[in-house]
Amino acid sequence: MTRLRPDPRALRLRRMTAGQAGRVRLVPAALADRAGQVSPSGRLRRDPRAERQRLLVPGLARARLVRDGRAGTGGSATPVQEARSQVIRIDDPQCLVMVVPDLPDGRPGRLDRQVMGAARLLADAWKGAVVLCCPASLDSAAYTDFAQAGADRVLPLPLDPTDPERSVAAIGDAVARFTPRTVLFGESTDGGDMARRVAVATGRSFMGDVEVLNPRNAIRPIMARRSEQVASTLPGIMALSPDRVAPYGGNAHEARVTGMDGDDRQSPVHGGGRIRVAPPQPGDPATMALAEAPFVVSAGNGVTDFDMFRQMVSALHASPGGSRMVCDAGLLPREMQVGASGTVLDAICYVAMGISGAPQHLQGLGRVEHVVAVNTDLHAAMVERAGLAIIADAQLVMPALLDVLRNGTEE
Amino acid sequence: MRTIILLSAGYDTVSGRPAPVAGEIGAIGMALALGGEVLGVHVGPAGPTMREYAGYGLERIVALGAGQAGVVEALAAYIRSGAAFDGAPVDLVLTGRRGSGGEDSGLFPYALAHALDWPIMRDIVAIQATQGVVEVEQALPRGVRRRAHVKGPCVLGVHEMAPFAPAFSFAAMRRGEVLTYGETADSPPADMAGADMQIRPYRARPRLIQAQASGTGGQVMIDPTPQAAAQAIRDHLVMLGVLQTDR
Repeated sequence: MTRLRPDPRALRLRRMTAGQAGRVRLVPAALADRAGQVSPSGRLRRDPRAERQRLLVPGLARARLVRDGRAGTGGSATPVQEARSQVIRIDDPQCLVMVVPDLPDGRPGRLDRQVMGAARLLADAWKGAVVLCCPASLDSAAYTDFAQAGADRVLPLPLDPTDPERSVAAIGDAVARFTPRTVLFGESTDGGDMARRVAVATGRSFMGDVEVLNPRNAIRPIMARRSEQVASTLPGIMALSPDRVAPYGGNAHEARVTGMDGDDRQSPVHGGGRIRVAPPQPGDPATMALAEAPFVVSAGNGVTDFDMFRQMVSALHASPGGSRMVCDAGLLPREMQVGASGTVLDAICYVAMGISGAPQHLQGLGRVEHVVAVNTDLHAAMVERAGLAIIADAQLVMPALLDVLRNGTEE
Repeated sequence: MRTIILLSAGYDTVSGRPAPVAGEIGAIGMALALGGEVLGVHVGPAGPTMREYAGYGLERIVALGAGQAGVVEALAAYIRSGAAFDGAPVDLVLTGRRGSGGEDSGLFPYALAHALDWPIMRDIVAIQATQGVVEVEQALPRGVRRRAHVKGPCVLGVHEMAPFAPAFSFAAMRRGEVLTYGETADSPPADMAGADMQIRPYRARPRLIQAQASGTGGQVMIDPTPQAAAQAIRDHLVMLGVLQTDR
């Protein structure tokens, strides 16, 4: 690849402006490109509101600004309007943006809300409306959640959780009927699968793992994450990566229920019947790989009785883990080590028994939401990270907890 | 059981050097565990990466020339033609979750299944095959598993957590044979850039951070009795919903 050689003299010349009293000023290089935002005297014009908006963490009641440049909204999806009670109606949309959410346990999840936020962003820019596809069997109580998440229309479809091919046929019919400008999915296990199925069934252009999505372009990594592909015309079907677009935070939209428009196409479901999927079963916590365990109980240097620890872990229906200290000593196998040199967890809840919380261990907690710590040191890092911290000897708490759990099950 | 494994000339995500794709190594392990005849198929020229796949226990690899046809059509025609197993039909096509080093969209197995009109499932961690029906186990996040019955010949994507990663052996790499099939006219690689597509170096972008329910530091109990501490932990876990009381 050839690159244009910079000409330092020309660059310097471009930065020169006339200063006071016949002197020459050099505008800082970063400012020279932004000629429109520079005042005649050469000073950069700042937009303090936009800067604050970029630093703001979305979804919090109290404003939180993150200034280290690693996080923030990059501008909220939609400005929050003043009158929160007003329901927004879009009666005559110029185009449609279709969303197919995963709906874990029948309500929009975290990724679903982000996908809705992205759809809202596109629909608002194109003066369009957001159509949300949901299973026809869904309780209509969830529709208020859809309205809050920014759905203009709700389209109940005969989606079949036991047969993805029938669901694809139903979504394909809806796409053919409404011809949305784009269809959005979440890049989750089921959403990503469905997006690809619909893409090959409808023959629309497809982009998965979308990391940047706005009305101008969509960006995704390619070539082993060493390059990125920028689509300036948005593809017909997209699957959005988690935590990339802020959820919609404005007024509720209408969420009007629409049908397939009266022509009574009770979908003569083509295909289907080749796959039969059983309902999901939770795994066995004792044998599960630590990286995918939802609930982990770990032992550290404060635990000496490992028989007791194992009994307590099985009574809690949790997966056992340990700190580096314990695994180095051979008290627990190496596969159970949590931390930078062991496993990075994806758990919902983590209980740390007698672990002070070295930085390398806390790295292993990654995105764990709820932490419970039992430790003798009030000033340990783990106590600071924990939602519930018990300042006591883990060795004494373990038998008491085992007792409480066993008595609780007898009741 | 006659299984075809789709192989791609991958690149290592860290070093950027040619390397086998981890998901496809898992697919090799799963096919070997399943038994029967196994064949690796790669559409494109036979590079050194194909030899490395042989080191994971694959004895025969075919580098398929697409000629003037598209990659999906060429592969579908090859599978239908029966050339893979001396005229016998293919029962199963195993793939990784996605390639690494090309378009990496994960769409190829779906396009192939569509071209063959076969059912497809992905994120598979276990397979049991009986007459005409394949029983698979699908991995969902957080250790949740889902069983499914798939009829007839099918395309299956193997999950990263599948416990079948075979060991590499140099002798197996030397032993394995890489054959070529079809006209290897150098068809230009799929054009990822276009009028409205642009390719540029990857830039890591910040993720949204999650709004924490509680701020830093939660409830602290200093020197409680063991019974009070145990009760507090139990109540907290029940409140979070991770501990079911009725079990």
